[in-house]
Amino acid sequence: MVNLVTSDNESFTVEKAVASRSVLIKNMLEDVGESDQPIPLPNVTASVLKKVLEYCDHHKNEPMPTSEDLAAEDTRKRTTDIGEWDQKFIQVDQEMLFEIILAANYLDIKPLLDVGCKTVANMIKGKTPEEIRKLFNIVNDFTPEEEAQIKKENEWAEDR
Amino acid sequence: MLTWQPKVTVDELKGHLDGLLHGLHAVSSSLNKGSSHGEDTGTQKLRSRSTSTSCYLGSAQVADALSRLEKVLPTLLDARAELQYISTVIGHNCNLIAPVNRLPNEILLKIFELLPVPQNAYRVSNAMLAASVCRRWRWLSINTPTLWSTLEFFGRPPFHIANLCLSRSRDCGLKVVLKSDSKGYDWPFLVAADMALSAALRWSDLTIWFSNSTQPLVAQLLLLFQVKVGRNRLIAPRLRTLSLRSHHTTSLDPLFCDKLEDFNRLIALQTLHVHQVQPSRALCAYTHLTHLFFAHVTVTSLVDLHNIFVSCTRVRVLDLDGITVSLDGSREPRSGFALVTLPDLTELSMRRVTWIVQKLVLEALDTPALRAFEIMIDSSLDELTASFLTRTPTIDTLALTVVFQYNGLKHTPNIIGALDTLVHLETFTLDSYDDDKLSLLHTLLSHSFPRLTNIHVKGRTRQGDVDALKAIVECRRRDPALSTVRRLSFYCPNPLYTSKRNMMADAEWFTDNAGLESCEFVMQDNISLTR
Repeated sequence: MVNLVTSDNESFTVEKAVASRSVLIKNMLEDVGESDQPIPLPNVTASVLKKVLEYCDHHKNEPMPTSEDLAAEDTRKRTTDIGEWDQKFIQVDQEMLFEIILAANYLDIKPLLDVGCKTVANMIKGKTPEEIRKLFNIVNDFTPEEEAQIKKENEWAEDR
Repeated sequence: MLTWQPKVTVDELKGHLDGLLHGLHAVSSSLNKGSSHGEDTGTQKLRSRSTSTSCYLGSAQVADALSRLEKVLPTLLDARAELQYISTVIGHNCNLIAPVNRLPNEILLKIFELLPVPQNAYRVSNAMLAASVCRRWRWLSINTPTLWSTLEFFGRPPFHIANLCLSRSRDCGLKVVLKSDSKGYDWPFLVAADMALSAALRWSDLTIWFSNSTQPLVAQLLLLFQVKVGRNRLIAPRLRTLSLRSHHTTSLDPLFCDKLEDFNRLIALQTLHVHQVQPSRALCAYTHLTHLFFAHVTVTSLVDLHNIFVSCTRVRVLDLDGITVSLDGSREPRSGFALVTLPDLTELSMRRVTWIVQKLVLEALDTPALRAFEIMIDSSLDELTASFLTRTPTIDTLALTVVFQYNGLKHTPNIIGALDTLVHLETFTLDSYDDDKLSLLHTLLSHSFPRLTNIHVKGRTRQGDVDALKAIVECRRRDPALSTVRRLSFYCPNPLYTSKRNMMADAEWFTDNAGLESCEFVMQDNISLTR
């Protein structure tokens, strides 16, 4: 078993197979060897780690993606398809979604990072810039000159 | 790594606000001064006039008012600019705390890259969308050359978007898409080609759409490319992928073939897509190819196709989709082709391929490293297919398509027997309209293939198939020597199910009891049960 300590000082004891879905933790465990020392995760809060561990537990028996897989994925046509379980898992509020993505990035859990990014891409899909701003609470901070340039570029794109 | 920092600090913003307040104060006092000064004279008179009989202002008073306005106008304009600037900075800083903008640049970029391209839109439409949301996204999009690396030419010049891509892709490799006009107008193609050729050394992928009548234009383009690239001996050309595409079946004329052969001397292509274009002997010169795709192609001669296999011995992926042989070709020898070893071939797909082509492939290709194999089951090729499978035990991904007119699995006993030799099989896909198709494979799938984890079934399906699948999953779960089924999909757009209740119960069994990681259970276009 592995003991993980979050930024808000909460401890999680999980199976090694679950914790090792994170390449960061896997490498730490390999470096430290057999040890009861807790592993501090200063960039992850308890509520986020709980969700991340839920994902790791569900996928613990899957083979880890190899560097070959990752290279193949880059060359293959990218899709935004997400597995059914993953889709339900990632149905969280925006705040949590971005926290999960950040945690997956920090903990180096590539498949979870992919699920998060694909979810955001799916949220953006088919929306106008104004709708995207509204969705993510972004303020239009363009100057009038920039606005004019953007309008012109988008008009060119419509001429196809 | 790209970094983006807001350029304005809080102190600077405060400075701008102070400036603005100062400006407004100056305007206000200037107006007040004028107003208090004129209260006794001008304004008071004006008021008394307006309330009494006259509404006229004296010319001196108008001149006075205008002069005061002129004095404050620059200050007002400055204030407006300051206000605009402050508003931009505030918006900018608000965006910094928006949850989505907590994501680092590399993750935001990954999201931009994942956005699907809408139909009939430029490939760069996602980059343009991202560049239209806010200043950070725009900065990120514009400063990521790979997002702008597809150069497409549609309609008539001026090709604004292509120009944008040329500048924003900077030094990045370019995917160039050129379409010749089927109506015979040369000039848009020539203008587009000229523009694209200005960055010829950066081309990494070239797709050319052409027809019989526009072959001379494309041949000219290839020639110009060679001249352009050949002139520069210091920088090696990056072009590795060529797609030759046509809307109608097109055979290459001799001039085009010559240019293709010359082209090959200059460029070591790795990937070649041929779509609706008859493969010619010119392609035999492409010995560097690692990926070869033929789609909707009519081969004039089996010998030509065999020669291509003989030449392209480095090929790793061979995809044949919709290949037929012309009448002349079908009169040529159909067997006796020398065996060709493709030592690096790992993926071989044959879809909608006539039996004579499939026969050539099965007979003439030796593929010792093959891992993924897709083939149509044809009872007349039962023995040949079985022989191919037996000499290729390396296959770990197998897709069998049973086409109705070629008879079903019942008539291919040798193939079923040979499947047992595939000890590395991990993924099995069966696409068939056979009734109770799984009953024939039930024993095999239950007790063979120690590494099998993924089963995908498509086509017309009966209750018996679902029962067989359940038994397979159960059987493998009980046998410790076999891997359990982890991913399963069941796609049946025209179900022959007895009732909806059964379907729901089965879906529940697969999703709740089978211990699967993923299960897709699509029984009608609008009914999908997945785990």
